[in-house]
Amino acid sequence: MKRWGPYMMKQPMVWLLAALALSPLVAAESLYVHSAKASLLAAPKFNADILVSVEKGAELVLIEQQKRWFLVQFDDQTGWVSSLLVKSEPPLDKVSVIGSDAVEITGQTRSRASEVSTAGATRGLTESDASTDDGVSDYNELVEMEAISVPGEEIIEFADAIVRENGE
Amino acid sequence: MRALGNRVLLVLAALGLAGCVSMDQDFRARLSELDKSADAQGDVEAEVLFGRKVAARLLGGYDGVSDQELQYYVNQVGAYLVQFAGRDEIDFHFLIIQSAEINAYALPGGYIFVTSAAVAAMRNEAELAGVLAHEIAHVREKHIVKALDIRGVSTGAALGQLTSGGNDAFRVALTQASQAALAILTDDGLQQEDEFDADELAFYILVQSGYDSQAYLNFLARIDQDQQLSTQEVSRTHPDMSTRLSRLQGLREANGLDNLQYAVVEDRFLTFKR
Amino acid sequence: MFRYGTAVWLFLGVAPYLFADAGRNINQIVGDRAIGMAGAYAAVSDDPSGMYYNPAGIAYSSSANISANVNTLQSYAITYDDVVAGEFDYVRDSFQVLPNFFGVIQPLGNYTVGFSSTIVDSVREKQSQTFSDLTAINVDKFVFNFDRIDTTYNVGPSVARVLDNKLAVGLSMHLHYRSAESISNQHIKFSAASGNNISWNNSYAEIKEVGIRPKLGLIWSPMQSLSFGLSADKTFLISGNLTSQVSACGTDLTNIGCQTQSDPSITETAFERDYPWQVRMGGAWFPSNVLLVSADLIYNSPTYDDSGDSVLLSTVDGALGVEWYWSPKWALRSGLYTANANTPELALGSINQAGHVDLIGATVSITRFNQGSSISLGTLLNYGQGQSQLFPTVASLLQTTTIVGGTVFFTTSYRY
Repeated sequence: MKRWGPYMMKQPMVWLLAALALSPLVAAESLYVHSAKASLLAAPKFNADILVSVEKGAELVLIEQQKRWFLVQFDDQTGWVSSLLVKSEPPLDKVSVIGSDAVEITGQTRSRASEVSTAGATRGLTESDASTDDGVSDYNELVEMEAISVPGEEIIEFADAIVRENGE
Repeated sequence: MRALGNRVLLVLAALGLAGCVSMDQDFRARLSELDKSADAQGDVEAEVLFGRKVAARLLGGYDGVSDQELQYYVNQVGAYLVQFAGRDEIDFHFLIIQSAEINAYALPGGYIFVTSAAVAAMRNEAELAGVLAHEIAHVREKHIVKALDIRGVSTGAALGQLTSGGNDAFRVALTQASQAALAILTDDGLQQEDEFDADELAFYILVQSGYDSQAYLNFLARIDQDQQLSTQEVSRTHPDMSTRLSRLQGLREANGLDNLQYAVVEDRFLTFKR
Repeated sequence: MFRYGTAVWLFLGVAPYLFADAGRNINQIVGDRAIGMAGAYAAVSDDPSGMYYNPAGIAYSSSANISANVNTLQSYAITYDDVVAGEFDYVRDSFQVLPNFFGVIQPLGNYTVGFSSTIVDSVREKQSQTFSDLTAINVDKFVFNFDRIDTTYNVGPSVARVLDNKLAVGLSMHLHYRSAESISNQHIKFSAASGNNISWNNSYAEIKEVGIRPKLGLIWSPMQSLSFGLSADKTFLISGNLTSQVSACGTDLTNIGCQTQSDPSITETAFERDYPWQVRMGGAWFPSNVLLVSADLIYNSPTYDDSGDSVLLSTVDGALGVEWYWSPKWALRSGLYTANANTPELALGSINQAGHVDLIGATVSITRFNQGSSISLGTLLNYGQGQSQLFPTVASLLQTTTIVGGTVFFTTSYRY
């Protein structure tokens, strides 16, 4: 039968593990930029110098946290970034629910209080105090509200007036 | 052979000791558990569907102001601010609603309403930006969703069920949840801490975006002092103004902002405000 | 030329160990995630499947509770070459739908407890063949029927505890239950050249065992992303019984009636076989949250009978598995494993030799994740070629034996 020692030494797995043992394995938390651009500042204050500007989706390595500021590393640069602009998950794609809520958009766009209370009554559910609610929803106006959309290029133009008023 | 084996074990042991001081088994977590984006996607969809429901309900009681240019302008300011608010997976929508009460409402999913009375009390674009930034902050922090949890109306994990349920029981539960949401917005208000948080975040958003944060303080002070303005609802649903103002002032001082110049953009605002 | 007339073929009952394990120590590959990785799981084991491979691993389960269920569709064919008249093959088929694993784990304070039900071995073989007009050996017709079921269950609780952030220990206490049954029937009608004689043989054997199988495990993570596992177990029988019966009848040219016959009475004897010590060692590397590579080495000790004679030899088996996520919702698993024979290699000239076929296997599966649950679909294929001695008393006859098996498995797991 096989002997253990020489058998084990011949197994590539043992050597693989030994090789792995020598490679550095660092576990660190990553943050991702969610705004279109984010600035890394020299200090956790708004009036600090801007060290570098990073784009949406960039991965930053978290070093320290101070209230609403994170000390992070990007490439070779270390700086402070506002917590508003980053999150620990990569940015998601835009979530669209248009067309997925067939219940509301098709057919009746005004649901009646009676429908609600009947459904509730038949299942033994009690309706909460309706004093703040006249029982009517207006989906037409909601759809109009959603239709107002500002294109990206316009926002950049819009920002000009703000940028101009900002001092040094 | 044996000596070599010993050496290998020694290396491994040494590295084990020299390795990370506090090591947990996080490395075992696989992508399906770690990456919450799939769950997050579902949650975001549920939040937006819920927000629509509450928004429709709110619009059942109020009407949007008919000045389409003003509405578009408010959406421009809002869209600009949203870039700095870190929730780019949802579309924010803004509307000015006709009301004599000064107030603004942030609904889940990015539906934000400001009353015409509030706009009437504003003097420049930075003040409008301040109010919008405060509401955007509420949406970012999902305060309403959390508040409904506190109140015991089932949301959270059930939100997905509520909004996707083809089941009548779920639809009724959703109606109850949206009624509760409106009650929070117009009657009870969110938790005090949430309001202070929103103020603080609004401050940061304003500075990031280049607006003058002092403008927001000015607006709050104005509506607090002016006896003629209708501020019952805002007082009912928010913490007292003096505390809010002193906190915001503290933030300005801590960040040394008094010496820096930021935008108020008065002219553009006045062309739309009428 | 063989004269079959007077030979009494006792396939079973003479060497009961022929029954056991189909001649290998590694049989069913169990577990939702482990099966996709060919059972290379000792250093992973951080979900219910871990209760079977290394109970220490469940201490590192990332979620509150998980339950896992596995259903498999298994099929294999054994071909014994040139059994009849040096020409015809025996073909034995097996087909079964087998839910071979179910497990639940739950954290409880500093411990993690669980319960699992595993089918560690299951055989369902059938053979039904008729050979006609074998003029070279004066046989008109030869009919052979064979049916064998052999299933071993391990059912029981497990408990594990994290000792410190690098070491965990665990224990599974399984109830071992085995039920095996085998029936074979053969009938030979000789041709006129051999006097139109008949030779008939029927044998039956049944084994029932009850025992316990404690399994102790350790998991050690010397550094980030690396894990080593060690588990050891042995099945201790509390009771084991063999029920057997052999009937035979052969006629000859001169007399009337059965000239060769055996006593057809049913006998029952105690039969407590010795199960081997099994030691499983594994290493796993988690380089990122999308990749996992794992390898196991499994040693089974030799077993002996009451008089100290060697019954089964020791075996060393290996398994190598990989799990790769190409998106948060989809993962691919694949693995290779061996299941080596625990019987000696056969030699011409010896009698009563058990079959010896080493198997190798490969698995591949695809998994879909969705908010706390997952389902996997995969396939396991195994193959081996070796030798058997179907006629235990005929020292000069060995058959080349080929086993080809395929399993389709469908598994789910759920976190709540």
